[in-house]
Amino acid sequence: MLFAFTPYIINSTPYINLIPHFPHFPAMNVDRRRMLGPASAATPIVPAVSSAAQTGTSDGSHIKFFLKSGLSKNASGLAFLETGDTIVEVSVYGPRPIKGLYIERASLSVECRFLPYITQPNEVLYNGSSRSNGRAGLTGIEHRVSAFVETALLATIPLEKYPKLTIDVFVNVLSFNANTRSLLNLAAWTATCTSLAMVDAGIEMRDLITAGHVQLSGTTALLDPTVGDADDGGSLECVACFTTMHNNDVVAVWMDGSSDDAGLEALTLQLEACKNMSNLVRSNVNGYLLGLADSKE
Amino acid sequence: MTTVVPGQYLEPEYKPNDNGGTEELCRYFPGKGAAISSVKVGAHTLPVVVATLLGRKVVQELKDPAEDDAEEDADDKNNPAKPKFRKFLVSVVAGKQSQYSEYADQIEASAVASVRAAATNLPREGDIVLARVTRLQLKQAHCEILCVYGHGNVSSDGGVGSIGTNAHMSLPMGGGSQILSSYAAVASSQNAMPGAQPMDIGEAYRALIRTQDIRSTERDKVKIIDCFRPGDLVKAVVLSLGDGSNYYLTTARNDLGVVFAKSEGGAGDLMVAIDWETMVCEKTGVVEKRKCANLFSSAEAAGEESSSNTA
Repeated sequence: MLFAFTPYIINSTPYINLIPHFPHFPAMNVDRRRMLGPASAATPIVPAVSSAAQTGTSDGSHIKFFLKSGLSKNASGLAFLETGDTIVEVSVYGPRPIKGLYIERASLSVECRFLPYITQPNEVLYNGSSRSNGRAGLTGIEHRVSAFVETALLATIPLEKYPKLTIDVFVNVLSFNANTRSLLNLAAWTATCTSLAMVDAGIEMRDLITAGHVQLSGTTALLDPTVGDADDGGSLECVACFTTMHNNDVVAVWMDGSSDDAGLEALTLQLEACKNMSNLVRSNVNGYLLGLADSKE
Repeated sequence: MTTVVPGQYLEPEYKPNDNGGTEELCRYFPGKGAAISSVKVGAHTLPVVVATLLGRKVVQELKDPAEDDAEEDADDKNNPAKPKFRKFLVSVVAGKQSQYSEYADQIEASAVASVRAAATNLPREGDIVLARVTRLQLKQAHCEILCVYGHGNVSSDGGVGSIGTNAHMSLPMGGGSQILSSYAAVASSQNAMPGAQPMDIGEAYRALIRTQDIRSTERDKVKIIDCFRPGDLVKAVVLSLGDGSNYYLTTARNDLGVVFAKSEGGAGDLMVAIDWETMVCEKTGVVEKRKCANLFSSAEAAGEESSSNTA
């Protein structure tokens, strides 16, 4: 059946802003140009914010984090991680079909976003002049975290099992304190949280990914450090993701810092420490997963 | 029944038989939710079946000897003194998400079908699927795959896609790296328009049945309107994974075709098949044409009957 196309006739009269003059308007001492709150408004009592004065230790005894998965039905998988002032939520959509050309392996995309009001670490340094990172709408920092997580995931997901499909990972940074935690610390926890979200989505992984973040202070490596832990001149930071398969394979590394002694020795020391933290985190994540599976039975 | 986490070692690929038989070896194949990975033990690299999912470990013995004959024959020539294998399928079943997972260990296992299967029930070549016809064209019928026989639903939100807001759209290659590909992206994107919708909710596994794949005889005389109508549920076999957008299905077998249809384009009542190309509404007696499936014919009978079908 065919319909004749009837164009809408749009009234093109220009909109005139008519300000009515009310003779009964209240007295002039009322400020009518601003929206004021009620006169009886009370100021909310803001509790004193506890500064995250936690410092890194070499044995990782101070590391605390909260995990939760499966909170959402909209996403295929969702995981939530909270540690200190950092709150990360990762949602996984997929595997879902793509449109276009045939692809033999699934395409994986990771997108990390900070909530708009959050101060991003080293914002000026990374975002300063160039916004040309090829990813629409992502800042330089968000892009870096996305790339790091994606690198780690690519090594562990058997993408060839999912032809013609796409797996989309959305990382939302809900809270982050750039004064106490560095970008690398965020990357480490994000990687761990993402692997949990993958498990929740039921997407196959050859192994869990867990990450460690360390900072060198002299010759000791501090696990899960806070900013300023090792500010004795140049300090070197390292974050690495591991799978325990193949005897603790490293699937992603990110080093940052201004130290002169970034030699092989320092690298080995840091990777070793990263592994310790990663194992510490892994045993907790595994414990959580086993508890989760048993509660479902 | 043990609970396993991703990355946990389940079984080595080869293992000597527990009974102490010197000739017998056990071979473990990775099924759903498992994969082969090589692990370094000292100087050796050992293939090990590892879990890739969180769930229960299920081990089934593969009984059918004819299954891997071709493969074994080729191996035997190279190695005449090859030991006898007992074959097992190791899979990981996640939770109690479906009826299938509940009865996973009772479903007959076949190594060939399972080794490359993903944990989700993705349609693969040769699978029998249930699809819903969404749109007809002169040369093809568009469908949406709902479930794979013997495995369960293709996706948890299957069937939602083609009635979603933008059912004709899908993600381009590169997935969600563009804006508005999910509700989360819409919510957090600062340049999303008010009232923006994600590209699609509940992605559909789209498929095509081309006219030449509808039946096995007189393919050039097939009129698609006499075979399917939108809304029909069709039992079909996956012919190929097709292009990026569509799987290709075929109904060219007696046991394949429409299994569920309503008369008058869905407005009427449920119809029953009276022969392979006619359905009749039980209430009103309306007769409509369909390519019906004979659900009660065995696979062998299907081959014999194909000639009588079109006579």
